[in-house]
Amino acid sequence: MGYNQSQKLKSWKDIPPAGLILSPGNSRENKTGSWSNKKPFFDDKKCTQCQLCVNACPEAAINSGKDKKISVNPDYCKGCAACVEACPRKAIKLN
Amino acid sequence: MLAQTGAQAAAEAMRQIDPDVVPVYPITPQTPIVESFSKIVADGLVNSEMIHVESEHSAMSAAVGAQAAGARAVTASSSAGLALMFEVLGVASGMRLPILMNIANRALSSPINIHCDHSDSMGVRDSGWIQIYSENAQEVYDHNFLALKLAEKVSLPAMVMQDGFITSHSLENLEILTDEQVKQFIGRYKPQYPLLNIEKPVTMGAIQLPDYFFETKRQQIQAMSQAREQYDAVAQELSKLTGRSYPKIETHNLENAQAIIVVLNSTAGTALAAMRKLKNEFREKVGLIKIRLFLPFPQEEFREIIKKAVGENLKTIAVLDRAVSLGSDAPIAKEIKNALFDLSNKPQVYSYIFGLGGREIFEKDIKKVYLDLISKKTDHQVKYIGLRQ
Amino acid sequence: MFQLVIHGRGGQGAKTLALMIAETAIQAQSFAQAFPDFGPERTGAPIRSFVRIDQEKIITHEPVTRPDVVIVLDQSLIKNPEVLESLSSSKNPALIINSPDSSGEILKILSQFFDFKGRIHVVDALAAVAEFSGKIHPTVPIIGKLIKITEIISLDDFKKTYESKFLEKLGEESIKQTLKTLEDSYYGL
Repeated sequence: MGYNQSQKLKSWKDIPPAGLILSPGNSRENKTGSWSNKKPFFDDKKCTQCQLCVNACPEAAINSGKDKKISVNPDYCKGCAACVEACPRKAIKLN
Repeated sequence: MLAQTGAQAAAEAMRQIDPDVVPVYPITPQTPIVESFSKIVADGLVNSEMIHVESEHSAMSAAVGAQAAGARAVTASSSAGLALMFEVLGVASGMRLPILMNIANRALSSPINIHCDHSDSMGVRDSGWIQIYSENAQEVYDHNFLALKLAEKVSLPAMVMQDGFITSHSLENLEILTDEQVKQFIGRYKPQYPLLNIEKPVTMGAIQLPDYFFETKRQQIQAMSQAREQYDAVAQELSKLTGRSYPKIETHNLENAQAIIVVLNSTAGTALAAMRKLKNEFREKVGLIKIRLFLPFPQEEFREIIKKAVGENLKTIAVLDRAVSLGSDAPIAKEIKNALFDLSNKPQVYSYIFGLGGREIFEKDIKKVYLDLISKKTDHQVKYIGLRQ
Repeated sequence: MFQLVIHGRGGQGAKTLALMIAETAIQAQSFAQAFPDFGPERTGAPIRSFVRIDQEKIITHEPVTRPDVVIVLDQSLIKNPEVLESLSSSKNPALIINSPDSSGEILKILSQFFDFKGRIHVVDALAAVAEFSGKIHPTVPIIGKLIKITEIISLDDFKKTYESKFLEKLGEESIKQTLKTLEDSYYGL
């Protein structure tokens, strides 16, 4: 943690006790996309919109669009390849 | 006036607290506490849900879960059981959950021994629990309420100690408060962030990286300080109900004492009896200190008491520990030497070890300590009372 | 302060006896303390229990070393070092022993070890309870003798405590017979 970051961090008096996280969904603030350069690519020809990859993603980073296109949110995709493993059509490749 | 053992006294206090959840696992000599409470539950006298878990680690884990949900959780243990809970003791404290636990002090293994010494509760000194030590069944009963109220005020867990077998299995006089008095005193548990509040969902016990862990620990340190500060007010409020007093540090005959003994739990009573039986010429030269609140250690108060006593006549302090801290000074001796470090005029502090594994301590042993102190037949070597050399 | 040591074997009621005496004293507005002294519980192993009764608060928690009375529930323990230690205490305690032998015979056994100066009270507890059809606990006649020689608690108070503790468990008939045994022992019958 560089000194730039520590200027944004709070004093022990200003944080909730016991390391409590008081608002749900704050994991959105943690952009895990920076953890990996590798992102999945989806082969539209093989994809059947089964949504198994959506479920498998631990960061809920895969979107199944209304236009029947599968895409990934690069802010949160950490390149774990769970979606690649989950796809029954082998329609996903990690690059 | 009731006739109850120390264990029954703890169970009676628990009955009047009527905790929501009581996860338990038996171990000698705490077993009669949970057995007595079991009977209370079976008789329908409380609303508590008793959970018979598979180990003490689970008992404390269940207590953490229950307290985090927003319930009052109370449990009991000893010795190896307390040791088995060790990991979760830190969790309870770090998560700032005011769990109450009764401890019947028993030696830690090895060798395996079921009898009294303080190695168990002293062994978990750093875990972040408030520690209150009890001399007899009456104190066990009273301290349960004191500890619970203090714990909830500062959001830290608390343990109430009694000597295994010596107090837990000893039938004594017990005066109890009415159920109503207890309810009024402890009030309703008002957790700030109960997990069961689905309107305000929170995450508890999450990971904290090096960027925030230290700050959270600092909060815990602050809470311990607050426990020290808030103790007197809670103790005085209980005093008004019971007519008995609960000073952090209880002193006897300190005025003009040349030599004092410092001790806690049941041996404090034996020591007081021994002190009172000394011949007049010696009796006026000695005093006794019994420590009730051991953690957070009342350093400043102790320092002030000793400073005043040194200004009168005090020359020596013998600290009697019923536990060793292998590789270092005995626990209480260490706290006392530490507390007195900044005094410019210090008394000599001598460390005595006694009673390990249930080795008996007699009034005559205490008398000998006093007489040795007065006649200056002491030195800085650690002494072992009752050990066959 | 009155101090008592009870020697028995695990399962014979030494612990319960101590607790009941102390409880009776506490109900009678005295201060009392009763505690057992044993290792891991095993039926048949020698155990001790201690009782203290006083009109002032009892603060000491050491084992009783100078008893006023020593009770031995099982004669086979008479040569046990712990029993001999209790009996040779400087207070010359009275001995109440469950035995079919005479006090003279008991004294003979003790004089093999030391010069016992206290009074010996023999109670043939098994004979005393044998005449009753119900199951009377052999400690009952012992208690009767204890109360008679010390009056440390009253017979009536003890009867009350006993009844309150055991009426439900043993039933009215058993309790009646028990209290009769108690009285017989007290009045020396």
